[in-house]
Amino acid sequence: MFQPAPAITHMRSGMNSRHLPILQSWLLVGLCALVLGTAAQFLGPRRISWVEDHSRRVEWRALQSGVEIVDVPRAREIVQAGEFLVFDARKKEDFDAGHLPGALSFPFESRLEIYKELAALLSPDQPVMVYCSGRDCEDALLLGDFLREQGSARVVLFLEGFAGWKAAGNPLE
Amino acid sequence: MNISTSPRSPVWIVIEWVACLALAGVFLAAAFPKISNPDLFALAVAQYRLLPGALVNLVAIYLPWLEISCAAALAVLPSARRGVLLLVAAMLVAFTLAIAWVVIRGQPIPCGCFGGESSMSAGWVALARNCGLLALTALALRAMR
Repeated sequence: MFQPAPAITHMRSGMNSRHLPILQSWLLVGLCALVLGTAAQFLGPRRISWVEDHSRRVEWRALQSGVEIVDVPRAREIVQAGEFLVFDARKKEDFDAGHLPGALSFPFESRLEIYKELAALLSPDQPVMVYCSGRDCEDALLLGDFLREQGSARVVLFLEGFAGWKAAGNPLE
Repeated sequence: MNISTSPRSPVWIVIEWVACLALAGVFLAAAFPKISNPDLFALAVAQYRLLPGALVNLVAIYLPWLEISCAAALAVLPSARRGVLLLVAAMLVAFTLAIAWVVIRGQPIPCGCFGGESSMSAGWVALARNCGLLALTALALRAMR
């Protein structure tokens, strides 16, 4: 009448171990993640909003930090006038594959070494335009912040970056 | 009661433990930077442009904890290993496909694999590493048979 519940017992590993059914395992780790993630969101020190528009995130940060943003036509004027130093904040290999005419490679990750090399060009009055791959990359903004910390008084951000420049049919170097 | 009595080779037992502990270590190492800086990880997820905007931050919030839960289960809950290894394999396949998509598009973005501050870009090295981890997962599953 009372039969023991069927169980799968494995003795092959040398010890009696019972395998949880796959769905139960998933449920277990899923629930743990749900509880811990929610707890971290409410109680943790590093919370983020549940939903965020990331497409304009860099733009918002630039506006908050007071960096001037330039669009493609203005960037074209700047490149043609040659008055600004134009820095490409992308990785060196991306720069080598194509960049704005007259731009210099200044990868954000190598900023300290490159800054030493270019320090002679960078007087506080020298205007600088920075760009990276596109609207959602942060490296140009971070490089601009870094240059302002070093004393550059006029740093503008070409928000559309390389993607916007190329999409507008502008020449590359 | 269904009892399996065929003894498993000690070599396979060792392989199972080593592979599971190695995977647990990698997943823990991947999760902690994401939790310590969820903001940057959310940006890294967004840059893949594979998820609807409404899901990006939810993934950034819960994925690291799922990785930690899987790592903990692999290390201390042998009875849940089979299911967790399958889940780990599914996650690795999804990550690998996402990186492959980025490589195909030629989009230079950070991998985000070990948090948003990770300097590794989503490229061939990240793809190769994920394939290695998938092979390790397959080995662990084979060792459990």
